[in-house]
Amino acid sequence: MKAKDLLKYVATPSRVVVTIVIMLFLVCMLELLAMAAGYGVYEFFGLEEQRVHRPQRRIGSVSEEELTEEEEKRLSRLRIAQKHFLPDSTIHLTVKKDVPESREFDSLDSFRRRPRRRQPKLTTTEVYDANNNLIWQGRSDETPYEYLLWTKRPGRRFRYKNFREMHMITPEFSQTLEMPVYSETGGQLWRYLPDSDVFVGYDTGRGKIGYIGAAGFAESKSSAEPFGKFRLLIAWIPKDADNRLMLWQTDTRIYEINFEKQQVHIIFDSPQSPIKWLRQLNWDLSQQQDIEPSIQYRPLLHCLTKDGKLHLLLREPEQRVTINIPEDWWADAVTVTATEDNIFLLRRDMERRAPKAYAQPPMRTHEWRRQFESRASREWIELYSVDGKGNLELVNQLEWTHPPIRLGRLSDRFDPPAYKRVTKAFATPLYNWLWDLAPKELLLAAYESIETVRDVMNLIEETRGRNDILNWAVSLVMVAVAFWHGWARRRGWGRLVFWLVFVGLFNLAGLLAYLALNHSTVIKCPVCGKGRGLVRFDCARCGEELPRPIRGELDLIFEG
Amino acid sequence: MRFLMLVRKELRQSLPWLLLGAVSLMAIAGCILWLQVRYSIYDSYDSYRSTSRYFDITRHPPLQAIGPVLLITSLALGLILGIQHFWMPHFKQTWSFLLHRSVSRKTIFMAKLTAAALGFVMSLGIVWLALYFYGYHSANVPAPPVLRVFVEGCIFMMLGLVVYLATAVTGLSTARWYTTKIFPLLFTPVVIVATVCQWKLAGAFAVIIVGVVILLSQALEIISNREF
Repeated sequence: MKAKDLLKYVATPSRVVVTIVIMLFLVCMLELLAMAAGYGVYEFFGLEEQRVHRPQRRIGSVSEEELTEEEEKRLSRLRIAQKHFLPDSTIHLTVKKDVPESREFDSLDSFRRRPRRRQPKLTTTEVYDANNNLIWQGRSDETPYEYLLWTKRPGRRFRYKNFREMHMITPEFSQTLEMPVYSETGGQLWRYLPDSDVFVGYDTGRGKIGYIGAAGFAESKSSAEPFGKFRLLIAWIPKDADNRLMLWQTDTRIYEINFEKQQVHIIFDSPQSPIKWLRQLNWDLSQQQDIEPSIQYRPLLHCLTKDGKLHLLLREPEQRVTINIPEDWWADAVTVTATEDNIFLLRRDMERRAPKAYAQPPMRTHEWRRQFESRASREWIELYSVDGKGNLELVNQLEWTHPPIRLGRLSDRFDPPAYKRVTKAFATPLYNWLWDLAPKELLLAAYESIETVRDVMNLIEETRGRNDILNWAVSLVMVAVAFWHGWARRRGWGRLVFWLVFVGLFNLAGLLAYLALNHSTVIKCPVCGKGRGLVRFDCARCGEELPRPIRGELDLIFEG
Repeated sequence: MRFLMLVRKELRQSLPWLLLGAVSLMAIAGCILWLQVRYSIYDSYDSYRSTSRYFDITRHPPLQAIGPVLLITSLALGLILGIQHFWMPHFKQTWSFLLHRSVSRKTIFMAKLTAAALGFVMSLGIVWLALYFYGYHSANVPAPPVLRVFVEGCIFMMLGLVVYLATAVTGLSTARWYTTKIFPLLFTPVVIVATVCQWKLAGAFAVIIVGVVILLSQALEIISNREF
């Protein structure tokens, strides 16, 4: 292949790519404008009001109309109340209510739309037993009961998402992860090196101290062992300490790093099965509590590995417990706690649990929601006692029922108003197919961590076609217009078919790109009288060649 | 030899803009960096202690503030050189004179591109290297900036070259302004945003390479086939 041909084969597709990218963006913008205009028209004529408040119907086995008002209230309370456990495993239902606060404004502050001073929010609490009987009522801060606290995600965690954001180039350059260490003799600074996956330390004189890797301190970078793929870190300053400790989680390990002592402890290692998530209770002991709790909790870290095992790492005293989570449990909703006397496991579950493929194509998600949300479903919590070998014993449970969701609300969510349906009909149906084919985890990770990707995906979600008959009908119209335009200008069947398929796939954006790249002047054929493109030597209809210009008297070049 | 002559000719013509770019970057970025190093939070380790926020463990390099200046200067220089090399011959009607030389059109284009690349290295590259070394050796900075920051600065300069190529394609295109002529310039924000969103340098280089291939192939094809 000659270099000239190669250039042509690269240049032409690249021009098409540039054009279609810009046209897709343009069409997105046009769609947004059209939707805004459509919404304005709906608002002006009061159509939006009619649409939102249209009669709703309900299906399902449980009909709430059959219940008395009191029963309805009790059921509703059961659903919305927070469920708590006392250390003796008794269940309490609590309902918090805000006391309306007076928002006084002075003249200047009312202009600024700010309250003059913020009052602490006052709430009252009603406590019910498992049979829904009121047992206590009063101010929330005077509650006589102390309930069990459960492990939760570390609040100030630094996740993989933050890790990526930190390394994003940005106009202000990427950032580095730096851990300062203070001492009376001078300071140190430990900086994470992403390429070698170790920390390097500098002292106040900017001399290198050494490296910290998975195996601990090392004199040189080559002898420092990399930690492994980063997932999460928690850093905290323990009570009565000056410097932070760091919990560093990778795919398979959890490290605790003490930079001051230049020590690394592997507190969990699961080489066979990667860690799915990590939760903790009192592990981060820097948090000062205003009221000393009467229940004494042991520091607890627990993580779920992908093989479905829940690993509990306890301190005071050191203990490790592994629990096999049954396959039918919703493992992500399991939490644990450890008091001085017992270890408890709390299981929450529901019939309406989203499938694993919940974050899959939205069309399928909508189908699932229609199926499950339109009928009554059960939800329950179970409290288990855990022994030292990880065996579970059920000690208490509570179950309640959710009523079906009104179909009217469902249709509002999934069936957009007419102006949106019409506007979306001009979008490319390709987005839905790409969503089907794309690697979901990668896409969702990019969505979570990159703001621009999030903006682009939100824009696409707002304007993407619904892949319905209207969408395809508009695509067909676009193909017909392209065919009508291209017939007289065609320079080969392959080329014409390519452009027709292209227009069919990209809809309006495809047609605009086609016109931008293929429009040429058409003249009237002197033989058949029909239009013919000037880029083609012969007429597409009669096959006659372009007419030669008539020789003038002053022409200097003659044909032989 | 002819190629080198052409490169020298383009460099000579672009010299005022290259000098202006270098001087602007040195003056603005140099002042910012000097002030930042002299008076900023990087003056001692106490700055770390004084940050009361629990989670303040990520840090921008001391060169943070000059990043936008470098990026904007680079993009502006790319645009100006592109106009100088591909639009001005059109306005002054000197394309025919330029193309009558006994070298191919691609050689002329590559000479312009080489001159632009050399211009970037000489004007912005050297200044950036000097600024990086100043930041690296400043005694007030607790830890020197990592090498990655220098590479990111070079990536900003490569983005200037992408703008240069886009300006070239726009200048060479025979299409009308309201059709595809303006598209290469509209395409550059896509490349720039996609590059600065990358968190791995390899990803940023890959985006730039794709952008350069798309624009360079179009520029070469147009200059080879169009009539001047």
